[in-house]
Amino acid sequence: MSLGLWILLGIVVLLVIIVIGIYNGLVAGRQEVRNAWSQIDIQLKRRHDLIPNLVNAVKDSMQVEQSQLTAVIAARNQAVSAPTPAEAMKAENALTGTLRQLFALVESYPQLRSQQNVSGLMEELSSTENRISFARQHYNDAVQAQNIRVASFPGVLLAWSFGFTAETMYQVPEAERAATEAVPDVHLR
Amino acid sequence: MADLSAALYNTDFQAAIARNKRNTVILFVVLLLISAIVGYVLGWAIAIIEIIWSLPAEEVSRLSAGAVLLDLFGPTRPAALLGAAIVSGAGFIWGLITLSSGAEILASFAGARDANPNALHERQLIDVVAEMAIAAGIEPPRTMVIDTPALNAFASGSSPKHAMITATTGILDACTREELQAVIGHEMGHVAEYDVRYTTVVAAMAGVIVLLAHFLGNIAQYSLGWGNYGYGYRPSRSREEGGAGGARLLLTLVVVVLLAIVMIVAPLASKLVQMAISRQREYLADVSSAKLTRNPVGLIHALQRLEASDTTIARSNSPVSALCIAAPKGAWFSGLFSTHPPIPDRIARLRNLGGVAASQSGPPPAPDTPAVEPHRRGPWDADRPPPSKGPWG
Repeated sequence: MSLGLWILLGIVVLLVIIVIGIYNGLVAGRQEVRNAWSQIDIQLKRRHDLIPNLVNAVKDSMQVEQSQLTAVIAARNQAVSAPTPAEAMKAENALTGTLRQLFALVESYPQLRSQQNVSGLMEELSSTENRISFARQHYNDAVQAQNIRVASFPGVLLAWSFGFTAETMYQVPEAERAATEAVPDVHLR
Repeated sequence: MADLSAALYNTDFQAAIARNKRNTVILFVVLLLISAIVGYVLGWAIAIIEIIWSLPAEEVSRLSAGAVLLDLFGPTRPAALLGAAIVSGAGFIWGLITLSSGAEILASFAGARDANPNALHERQLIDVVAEMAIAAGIEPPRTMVIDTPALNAFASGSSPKHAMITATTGILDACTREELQAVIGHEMGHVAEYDVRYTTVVAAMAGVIVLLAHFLGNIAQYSLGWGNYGYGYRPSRSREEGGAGGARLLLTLVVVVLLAIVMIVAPLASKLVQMAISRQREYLADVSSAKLTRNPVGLIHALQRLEASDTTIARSNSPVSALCIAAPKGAWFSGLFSTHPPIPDRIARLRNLGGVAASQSGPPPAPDTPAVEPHRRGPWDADRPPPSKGPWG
């Protein structure tokens, strides 16, 4: 075989290796997006499971109007039993709203904050909320990375033929936006 | 000065991350080149000395010192290429061997204990580590605590699956939750970017150069005594030698001096590159923290607190300091030889990422903590400056 033919063969092998690399990158990116989405669900479920236990543990020692705590439990029950994903989304946002009111309440009453078990409860609840939002943030980061891979050169040449599309980011739907952006209303009694 | 140079840097963290990674690759290539040059000169020196002592007498007399030196830049000799390949390959392979041997640097300190979920601040630490791990998309590393008033935090472990994050009780008491989150975000950045692996390989490559220099220095001391009796002793030529023998020695000396210069400069250069790589990785970890928390102001406040406080931890040595949040204080770590960039520069770059208007004032006052028990003196309390240990000391 002549030298030219060897060089051609070498180039073909190199191209195959590059294409394999791009494909594997796209596959790994898509799996990361799926994993990140399920991570959000894990954190939401953790919130469902945790809240009743936490609230019951401190109900008696928190000298605040019980209705605030009951509102949290009621919202949580609604979120657990929501029939459709759209309903679930609404109920989760409502639960977040009641929790935000609880945080605002405790923040504005320093003598509450200093109690040991109250601060433990607040730490658990705020960590739960943080974990949910970081899970959503990571999902969006994974989506961003995959979208960049799918849309930039040379991945863009292959993505369509291999069936990789751009993913959608997590966003608060327009209907819920007003509710999530509202300032929480705080009163002790 | 710090603010002026910071204005030239990126204002979005994705670009900053890409830039830092590019810089570390460039520095790594420089380190590889230094190894290759050292090996090349060594191989060449051996080959040329062999030639000097094997040429017939009249050709040797015609050689000048300049011609010998120019030969270094002349056609490449196989011995030189072999030398370059061996030295640059050896460091790399040694680094890989160290990693695969399973000995994790800083796996755990004597005196480090698992974080206690029943203590509020340690509970917060565990939660913050879990939150940052979720944001980074990795499993939560094991969380450990060291009892000392010094403010510092470390990451260790060769991969995210086997990672460990350790914080001092000092930093848990001094920082707000937001600042602690930023500090842990920085450590998580180290874990996610495989920094332990990276610094191990870099340290091994620099180490090969230093060891080679020591080794050759020892050989040189012995061989200076041989010059008249070793290489040059060829009984069959002893009649013809005469002046040529002296010429051979002179030329050999020229080569040896060149080698000595290279062997003095190279370890220094490789040490500088190693420290520059470490500082780039620290900037990268800072940007990773900003990316994970989306809150550069938190890290700025934490760094301001660190600057104002004592970060000394007794028994720290140089491999430890590379993975801390801030260099343990001591005169040994300064300027070009420091593993960490100066804190004002780090703050300036973070301001760029978070908007200059943020955080012109100092950190918020220390969080009001419930009454803390008097601090038990642990094995980590520094009552004297850290001893400068380690292979580079």
